[in-house]
Amino acid sequence: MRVPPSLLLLAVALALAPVAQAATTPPEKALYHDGPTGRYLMNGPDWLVRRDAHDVGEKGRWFAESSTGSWTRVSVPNAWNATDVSNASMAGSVTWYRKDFRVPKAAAGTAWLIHFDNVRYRATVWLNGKRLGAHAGAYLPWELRVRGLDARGANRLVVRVDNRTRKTDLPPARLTVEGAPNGGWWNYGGILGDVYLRGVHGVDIESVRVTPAVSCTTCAASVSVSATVRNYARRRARVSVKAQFGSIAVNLGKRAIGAGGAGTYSKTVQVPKPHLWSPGDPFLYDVSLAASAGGGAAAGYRVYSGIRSIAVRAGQLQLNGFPTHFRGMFFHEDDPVHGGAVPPEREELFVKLMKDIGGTVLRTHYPVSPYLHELADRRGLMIWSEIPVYQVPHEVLAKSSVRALAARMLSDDIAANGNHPSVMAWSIANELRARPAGTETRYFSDQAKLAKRLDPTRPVALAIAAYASIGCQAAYKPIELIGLNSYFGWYQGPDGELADRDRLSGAMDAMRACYPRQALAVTEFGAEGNRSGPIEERGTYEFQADLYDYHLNVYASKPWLSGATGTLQTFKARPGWDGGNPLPTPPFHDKGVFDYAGKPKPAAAVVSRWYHQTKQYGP
Amino acid sequence: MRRIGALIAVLLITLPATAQAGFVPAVAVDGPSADVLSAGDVRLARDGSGAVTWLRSDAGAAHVFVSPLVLGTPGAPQRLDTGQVNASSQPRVGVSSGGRILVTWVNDGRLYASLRPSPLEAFSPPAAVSGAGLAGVHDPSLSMTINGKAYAGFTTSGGDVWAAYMAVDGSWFLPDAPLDVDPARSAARSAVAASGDGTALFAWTETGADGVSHVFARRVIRQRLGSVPREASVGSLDGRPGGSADSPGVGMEYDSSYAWVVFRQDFTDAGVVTSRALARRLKASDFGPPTPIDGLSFPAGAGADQPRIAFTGRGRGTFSSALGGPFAVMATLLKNNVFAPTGRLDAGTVAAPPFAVPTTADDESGTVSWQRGVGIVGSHFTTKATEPEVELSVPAFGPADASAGLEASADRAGNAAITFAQGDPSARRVVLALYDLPPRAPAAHNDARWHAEGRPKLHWATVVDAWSPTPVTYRVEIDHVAVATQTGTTYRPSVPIVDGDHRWRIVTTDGRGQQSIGIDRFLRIDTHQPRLELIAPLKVRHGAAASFLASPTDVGGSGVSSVELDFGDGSKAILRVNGRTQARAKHRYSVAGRRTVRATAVDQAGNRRTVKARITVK
Repeated sequence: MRVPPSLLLLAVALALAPVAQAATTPPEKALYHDGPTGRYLMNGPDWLVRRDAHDVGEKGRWFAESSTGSWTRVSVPNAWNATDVSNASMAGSVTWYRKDFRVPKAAAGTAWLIHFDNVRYRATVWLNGKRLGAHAGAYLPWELRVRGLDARGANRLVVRVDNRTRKTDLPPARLTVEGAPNGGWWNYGGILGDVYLRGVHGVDIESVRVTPAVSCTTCAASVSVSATVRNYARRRARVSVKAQFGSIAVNLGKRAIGAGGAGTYSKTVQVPKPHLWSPGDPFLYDVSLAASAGGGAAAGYRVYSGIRSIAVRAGQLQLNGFPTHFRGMFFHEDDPVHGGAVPPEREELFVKLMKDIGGTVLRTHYPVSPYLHELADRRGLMIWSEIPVYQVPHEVLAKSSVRALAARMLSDDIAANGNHPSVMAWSIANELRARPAGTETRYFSDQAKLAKRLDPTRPVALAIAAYASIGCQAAYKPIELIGLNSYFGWYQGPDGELADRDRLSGAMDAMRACYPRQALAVTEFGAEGNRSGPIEERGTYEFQADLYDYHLNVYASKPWLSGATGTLQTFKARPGWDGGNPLPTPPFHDKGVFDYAGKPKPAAAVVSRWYHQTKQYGP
Repeated sequence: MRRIGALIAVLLITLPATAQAGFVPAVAVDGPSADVLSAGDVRLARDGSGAVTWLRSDAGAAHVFVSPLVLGTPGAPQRLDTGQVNASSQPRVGVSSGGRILVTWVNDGRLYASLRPSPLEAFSPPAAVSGAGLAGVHDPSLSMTINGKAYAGFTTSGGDVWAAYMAVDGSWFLPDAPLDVDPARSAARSAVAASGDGTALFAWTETGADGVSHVFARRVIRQRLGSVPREASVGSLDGRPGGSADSPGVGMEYDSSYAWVVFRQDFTDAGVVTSRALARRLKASDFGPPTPIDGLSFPAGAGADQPRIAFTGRGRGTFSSALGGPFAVMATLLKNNVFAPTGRLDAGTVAAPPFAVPTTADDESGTVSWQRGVGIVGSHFTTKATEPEVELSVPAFGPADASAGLEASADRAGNAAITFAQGDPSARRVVLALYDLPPRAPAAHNDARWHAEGRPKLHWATVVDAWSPTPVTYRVEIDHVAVATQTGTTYRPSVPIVDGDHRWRIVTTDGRGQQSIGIDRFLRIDTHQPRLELIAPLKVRHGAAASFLASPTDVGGSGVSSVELDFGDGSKAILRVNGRTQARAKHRYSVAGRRTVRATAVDQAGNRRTVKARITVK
């Protein structure tokens, strides 16, 4: 049979054409409250993923690929290695994500941005085969201007994610003595947070800072409202910005902004009888901002705000003027199914577990999701917000590029999360060199100055490995709130100095003597617990509960101690992790009082008893 | 010029090829005297401080004496059981860093203790450890944690084994019950080791329901008995049924999750009962499989006994035992829970049970001391080599008897102290022999670059030798010839060193004359300028290429690395020479005039030689 040439051509064309991937229009929807209007949710199950273990995708122009043949469907947010506990998983790899979408209906001239809440670690973004830009660094949001959109047809967004860590990343890549990839928590790679398409109609409220200040519980509060507005129009425009703080209208003024330029608007208003925010009464004010210019250009922004003061005075952390004795937990955003792409239900579980045991502070190792921040605002939890400058070796921190990266992360954290009343402190590092040298000293000084310049209303914090033998360190002078990682009775420490829990009280007193004018809190303590067994056997639930009880008893005897946080829940640490447990279950870090599924261990009851009986705030 | 080369011939000395052996023969701690009765115990803390105890007759009865050890040197003896009229016995000592010393002993059927919290404080009066209801105390054991807590074990006349706990403040506590698995049965002879976390592991012998003795182990946490006593002795070994077990010893890491128990046990092999020395690792609450530490396999001849263990908080251990016939001293080292092959330490001269005692250090070395004839000998060994046995006893002091007391202990670095008694009853001495670790060779700065300066500063790392009675000295050698001996860690030659490719090294000597020789380091000196000839055209047309030929040489020097050319018109060029003797360059002048061309040869030491040439550009 003779086949007509036209049919042959059609067959060839069909063979080469992309396998159709349904291009949907993202809905105007955001999964958390705070942020600009005009957010279109790109999350969902209509993404494709492709592993690139040999890193050949860029050379192979996967960003311009039409075929779906080697791609599999995936739901974003996604960690490609969510359940992979191999060395290769921890070491990281390259993975590509792809999504076809249609542009939402919008006014002519609308500019578009693509917003990522958390991509770990390096991302390169293409739209319709053209490179939009790149970003390095996890846990914090970033945006790219989207150009080249097809307003009528399908658009293809492609993201190459590389989570192969380097020594100069934060957190840094490290190896165990056996040569296996190391780290304090799992190196989940992928698009771990929400993705939004943002439509900008002439002007954009890029950022908003609402900064309340109150000097006493019965005083009027002053609230500074500040917004940075960018003019996306091609002409200079006069842009006015108005805001509403609760029932108080705030006119931030009107000014001209050049094409492509940005302007900052600020106004401070008085709130005569403020309803103060506290963990016991997490009252939030609804804040909205609107920017407008001629020609229909307009933008909106919403945040919740809470009025409260948090500061270090006379060597103690004070909330609304009263010393704190907070009790809380450190934790990691880790999910048995989704890994680091933690779904809202998991975040809600963290909060529920915390509330169940009477905890009021979540101590983080990196900036957590916007959703969890808002949960904390609403449910009355405070957040020790830390950037992942974790166990960075001295010689790595000596690199100016690494310190610059840390400064950028601190700035971004403050910019992203500074409006949350739940954020109690900006923590600039965890467990750097125990005897700080010049590099660390300079780092502490520079970061403390930066944090105070960007946000003078919150203390600067630092978590340290609390070795009693180290002695007083002048390098910590710029730190207002010092966190002590206090593993007495669990880890051994240099020459066994931590091994005996009976040294805890004396060591804490020695620390206090070193830093009488700074606030001290315990930022980590506890023991692994992954099985029932004899109380004298380290690693049993019984041993863990006993050690928690011992520590909390000692902490209760230190009225100067501003707070203490244990470990909330089991999480994945690294391949081969034993955590000092003679019968470990690597890669799981089992110092949490709840297991990976959220089931309480016996220590949870001990912690709950102590936390509920501790007066954590107030007169 | 006066040169150090001339000095070398004068200072030439002969150097030992290797470090000297570290054993120091015994010195008397007490005696000779008819009042000196027997050796007691010796312990070293991780920092090298320690104490030795012994029994001496005072007012007609045996009493406990102690001598603190500083830098391996015994201090003034002091009686501890003051006020006790009747005879004391079985002194034990426990120590921790900083000079904290605890001594226990038995008097009138009770266990007593005396604590010296620090060198600045006195020993406390005797404090009763065992309660009044526990009579006939004997066979005590003692271990102090690195944090100054302590555990004592003892057997009562009722056949129970008890633990006692001493808090940091020196107060003692007893659990409510004995350690025994079944207090109704006979138990005896506990051994104890305390971990850094303040937990102790006791091991003891207890008669089982089968009528034979077993070895059990149990943790004690302060005055609380561990809930899960475990049997260390085994039902069988390599298919041979196990029998009676005894002679336990214990070692524990800083982390109480991990410990080792050694013991002796009978096994029936082809109808013959054979004694074996075994070790088992306790991890969490369970023992791992038994590991023979005697180097034997079935059929095991006359078997082995006298198992002993020395162990560090970091999990390094020396395990020793004695073969029964022909007698031999066997030992093995443990690192990362892996045993090195068990080896024989003695030279085949042991004719009686050797009562060998081990020590161990964090650096995976150990010593074992034992009875040989009427003397005591010791051997230092590592996983790579065993040094020949060295006599520790002094023949002039008379015969030694290890069965009446031979103990040894080491600090973290590997310095060891060994105590025993020598001499007949009329002139007995309690003596102390040492293994004084030779100083290590320092890490000296290695710089392979050439120096243009004849007196470069040499520097090296400080060597810490805790037991050296005087600071270690460093002998600086250039080309293996001594040029200085000093205690500082930098040296600049007083006169310039002759040009050449030299080597230097440091020989470290401690206060006992022990030496370690560092490895050779580069010392390259070139103080002379290289030679250079430059051939340049006298005239050249502007725009045309002018050729230049530079011919550098550096005979006997470091060698020319480059030639720098300044063409006199603001243009420059650097010609890499890399061993060649000629370097060529071309240059085009764009403007007419008279130019001065400068060529500079630079050698690897940085010495420079510049020559000039004039050129007319038309």
